[in-house]
Amino acid sequence: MGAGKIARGLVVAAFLVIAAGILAACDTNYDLVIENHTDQRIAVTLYDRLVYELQPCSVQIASIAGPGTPSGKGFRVSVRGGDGATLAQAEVQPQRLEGYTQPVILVRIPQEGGDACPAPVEGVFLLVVRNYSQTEATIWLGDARLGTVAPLDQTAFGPLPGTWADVKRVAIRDASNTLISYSARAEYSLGDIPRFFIGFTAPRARQ
Amino acid sequence: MIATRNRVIFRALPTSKPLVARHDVGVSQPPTPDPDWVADFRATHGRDPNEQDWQDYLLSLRYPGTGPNGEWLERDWQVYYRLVDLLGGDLLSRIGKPGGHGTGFYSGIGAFLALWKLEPGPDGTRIAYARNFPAGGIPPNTTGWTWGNTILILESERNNRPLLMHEYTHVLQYRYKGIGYVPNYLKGGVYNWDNNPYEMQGVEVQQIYEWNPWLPPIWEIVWVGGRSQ
Repeated sequence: MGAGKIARGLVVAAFLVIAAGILAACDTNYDLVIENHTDQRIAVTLYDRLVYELQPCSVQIASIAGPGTPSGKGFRVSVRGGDGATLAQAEVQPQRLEGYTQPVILVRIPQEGGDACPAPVEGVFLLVVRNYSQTEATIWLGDARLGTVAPLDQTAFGPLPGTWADVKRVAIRDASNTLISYSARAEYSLGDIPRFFIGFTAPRARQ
Repeated sequence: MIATRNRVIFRALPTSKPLVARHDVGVSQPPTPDPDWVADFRATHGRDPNEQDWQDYLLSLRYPGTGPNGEWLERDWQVYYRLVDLLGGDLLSRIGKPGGHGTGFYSGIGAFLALWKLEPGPDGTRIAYARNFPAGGIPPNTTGWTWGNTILILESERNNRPLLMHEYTHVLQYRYKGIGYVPNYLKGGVYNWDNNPYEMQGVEVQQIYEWNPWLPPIWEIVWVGGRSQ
C-alpha cells in the first residue's frame, strides 16, 4: 500500500472519529420555563426523571441540557396535578423567545374556564444572591456594581429592569477579584416581581 | 495501654486502609480524627464509620453546608449521597486519575478542535472557552462539548457551574470507558436523551447543582469506596 493511500485512510479515519464525536457528549443549554396558571399544585417531568414541583399560580425557570445539534425532536413533558392525575403529556419544541438568550422549552399550564391567577409581572426582577462561601463576594450586573454579599448570607438586589437573559450578565468576584461560577434559577408567584436566585460556594478559608 | 487519639480512631474503623486526608485543598492542616465524631456517627447510624464516611466528613469540613455557620444539615447529606449514588463508584474512582490512552486520544482531538487555546481546568482537565463554528471550535447551537479530558464551553457560559459539572461528568465517563466511550455513547442514542445513560447522568448532575449551589464540586470528592449509608 502506498504512502498516499495510508495518508488518505488516516484522514478518513480522523474525519469519522470527529464526525462521531460531534454527536457524542455535545450539549446544548435550554431555558425551561414552566408557568402554572392553575389553582392547584403541579409536577412537571422531563426526560422521565427530572421533576419540577410548582405551587398554584407560580413560575419556575431553570436551565436544562439537551441534544446539541438540531434533531427536530421535541422534549417529552408530562404534567401531573396535586392528586397525581396526569393533566397533560406533550412533545414540546424549543423556541426562540424575547428575554431569553437560549432556546426556550415553554410549558404553560392554563386553568380551564379562564385564568385563575394574576397576570405575570414583566421587564423587572429581583436578583436574590446566596453566598454559601465563607468570604465576602462582590456582585456585578454587566458594568454595574450591585454590592456585596456577606459570607453565608443572602441579599436581594433590585427591583432591576430586565429579564431572565440578564442573569447571564451577572459576575461574582471574591476578595482577590477572582470570578466565581454560580448556579441560577427562578421561582416566584404570578403577579409578584420575578425572583431570580443565584447561589455559589467556595472552599472554607484556610485556618 | 494508653493509645493516642489517632490510634483509637484507626482501630474504630472497619478497614485496614489508612485514613487519607487531602492536603492540597481547603485547610492547611487536615483535621485530626476526632473520637467525638466517631461516637456521634455511631449514635446516629448505629454502626462504625468506614473510611469513606471519614472522607465525606472531611469534605464537609472543607465546604460549608446550608446550616448555621455552614454546618451540613441532614438534607444536605441526603443531596450529597444522591449525587454520589448517581455517579457511582465506577466514575467516582476516576477522580484524580487522568485515564488511559483512549482518553488521551480523545483529549488530543479536543485540543486540536480548540486550536490548543486551553486553560488548566480542575482535576487534570483542560478547558477552552470558545465560540461556535466557524469563529470557534464548538458546533453550532452547542453550549458544551467534551473530548476526553478536554472540555469546550461557550465563552458566554464561563460562569455556568452546573454546566461545568455536566461536562466533567462526561470527563469521568471517558476515563471509565476509554476508547470505547464514543461508540458506547452512540449506541445509547444520540438524540435519545430519555434513555442515553451518559446524558441521563449528565442532566441529573446538572439539575442537582442547579438546585444545590452549596454542593462541593465533584472533583473534591475523595472516593475510597464502601459507602454504606
